[in-house]
Amino acid sequence: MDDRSGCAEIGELLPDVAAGVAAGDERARVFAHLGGCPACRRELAALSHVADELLTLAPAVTPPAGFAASLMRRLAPPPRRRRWWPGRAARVALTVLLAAVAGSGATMRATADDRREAHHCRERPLAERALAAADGTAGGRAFGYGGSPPWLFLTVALPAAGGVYDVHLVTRDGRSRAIGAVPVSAGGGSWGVALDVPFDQVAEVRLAGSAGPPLAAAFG
Amino acid sequence: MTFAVALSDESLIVGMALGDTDAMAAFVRRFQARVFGLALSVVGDPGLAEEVAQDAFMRAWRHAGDYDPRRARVVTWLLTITRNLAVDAIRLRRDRPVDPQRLLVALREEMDDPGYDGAEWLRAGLRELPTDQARPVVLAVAYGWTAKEIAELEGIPLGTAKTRIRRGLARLRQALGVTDG
Ligand SMILES: [Zn+2]
Repeated sequence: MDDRSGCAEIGELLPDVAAGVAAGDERARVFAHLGGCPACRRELAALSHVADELLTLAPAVTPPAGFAASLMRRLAPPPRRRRWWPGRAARVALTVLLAAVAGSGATMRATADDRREAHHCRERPLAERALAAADGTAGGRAFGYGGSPPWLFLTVALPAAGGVYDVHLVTRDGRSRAIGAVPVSAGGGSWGVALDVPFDQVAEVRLAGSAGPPLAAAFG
Repeated sequence: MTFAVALSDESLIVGMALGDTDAMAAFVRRFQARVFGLALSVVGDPGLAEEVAQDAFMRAWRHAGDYDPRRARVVTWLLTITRNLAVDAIRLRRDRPVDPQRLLVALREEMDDPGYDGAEWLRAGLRELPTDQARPVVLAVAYGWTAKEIAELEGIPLGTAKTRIRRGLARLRQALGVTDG
């Protein structure tokens, strides 16, 4: 009874909060209630969604000629480029990978949780390791990203390699499991996957199969 | 690997966060008409709208790393940035009074663009909403006005302004319920 009358009173105030016009004490009452009430949280999320989507109704209008060009001239180079970042081809491949991950229904969180985490990620670039054969021959690179979701991206560059490499992930607890396959043709290939384990649990990535000699990259 | 894949909005944001100007160029191509259109609907002046739209993209470029896909779609995030800058711009120029009717008419209008992915359920709801409720909702949500400011502009008591915003938004929210089940 108390809960239900509480929800009714709070429910009245939810549109005010979503529209950004609630008074300070009303906001405080609402948020105190939301902590223990998933139903009202869902309702506020729906109302906020409506408010956000209102802006998308504005008509599209082509801007004056030269708009994009003058904008692109204004872009200063970013303050700190990541050193690990590979060449342009791999960069494009990575962007395509991210598109595939986002499109596959996996929750692709483009960036970190908040400013703090985003900052943290910039401070600590992604891990990059050589993929090498048992005799030390370089066979490509492995990139690991410790954000959310964590992901792994592999490039194979090995003259005469062709076929398929099965990819196994070895975690720190010593377990190994298949996570996919890299198609290789004319000595090159690239492939990536979102991981369901935190990246700091990854000990090693192993490639084996018809494409060429076994390759491995150690992390950690 | 083929590069002809249409990149998702999120992957362009990732590229921008990494300082990739190619990703930014694609992002601008994809959204410039939406951003300029919203800026123009709010400020009403093409020159000022172009400044606002340029600033909105610059802010998106600098803050791409702050985008959180759990909180909003990319287009919603970008248009919220645009809205904030547009509102700031007209507040600075007192010679250009806010005209909520202009934006309301624009929001209610059908869009021809086949690539438009906006919320038609919401547009339908906005059209059915009585104008005396729709205007306060637009002023609060799109212009970021307080209930007190809205009451003054509309010439109505504060309590009435709050009631109209509350009822208006609640009715728009019902449109969401019908569509998304
Ligand atoms: Zn409740």
